[in-house]
Amino acid sequence: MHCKKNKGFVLVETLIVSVFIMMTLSLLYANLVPVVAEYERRENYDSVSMKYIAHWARKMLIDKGKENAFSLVDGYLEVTDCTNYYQDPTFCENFLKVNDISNIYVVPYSLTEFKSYVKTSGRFSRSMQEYIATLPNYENKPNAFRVIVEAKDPTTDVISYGTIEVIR
Amino acid sequence: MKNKKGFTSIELVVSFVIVSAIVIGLFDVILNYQNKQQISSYESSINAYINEMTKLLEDDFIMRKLESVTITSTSSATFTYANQKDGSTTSQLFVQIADGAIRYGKTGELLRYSIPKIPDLKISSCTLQIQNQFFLLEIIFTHPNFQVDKKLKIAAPIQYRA
Repeated sequence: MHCKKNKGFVLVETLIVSVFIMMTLSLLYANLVPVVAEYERRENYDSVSMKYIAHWARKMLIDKGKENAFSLVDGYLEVTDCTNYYQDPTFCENFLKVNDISNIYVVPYSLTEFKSYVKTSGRFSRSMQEYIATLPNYENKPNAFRVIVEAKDPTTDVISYGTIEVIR
Repeated sequence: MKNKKGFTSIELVVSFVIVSAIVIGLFDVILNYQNKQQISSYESSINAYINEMTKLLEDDFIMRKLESVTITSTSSATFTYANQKDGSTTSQLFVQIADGAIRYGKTGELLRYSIPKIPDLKISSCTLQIQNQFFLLEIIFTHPNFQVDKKLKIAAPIQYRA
């Protein structure tokens, strides 16, 4: 007579399946966390307000910047000093003040080298490092730079960043 | 021999207690998540509104070249531009705090931009000023569930010359 098999899973089977499921879940988690983090970071940077601040910073650099404002040292230049880099220091000082700008950087259009410099030099704040890491590398363009502005985001009052390209 | 016994009443009671505890726990978690989700959707709506208004005003300030600003009251101003739009070189801005709306456009043809329809969301203050040749606008939006008030803040240079 045919005998019905009433046995359930043995311990080894259960363990193998559990380990397999746990591995799949941990892989999913490891891949999902950076995606979520990047989404959150992108939500905080380059907002519409920060883009307009970056636009005015670019305009000021092109229209009122001195020749040395694009002479990069160590692959970048901090152009926050109004007397050294602008022909109209008063306008520059007022612009920085009303927009709560703490730093303006001019960097190459392609960010590949600048990104690794920011990561290793220890000269930049943690928030700047995090922001730069979220940006794409971009292909090099002749006579092109990027302006990166560090300021209090007008909407949230939190330090944020905005970037825009500059063609000379 | 085949076991034909069902569950004992103690087993059933224990199972029910465990399942009930899990359901109650999950219910709290879901309710909490639902609240957070709603607040986040409110924040997205007001951010979209702020972005839209920022773009509208800044684009005019940049493209039409802001020449002068006359602040007519604590919540209204008239702008004069170097470049025309729709046959006019001036625009007016009215921030209607009580109505929860911003009105902006060509003089006599103002368009109304109402804040998103969110319960308890309101415009709490509006500041217009001219400081060192910059026009400063700050409109604050409050909601009891927002941790930080949202701001529409613009600083545009007046009579910018290259």
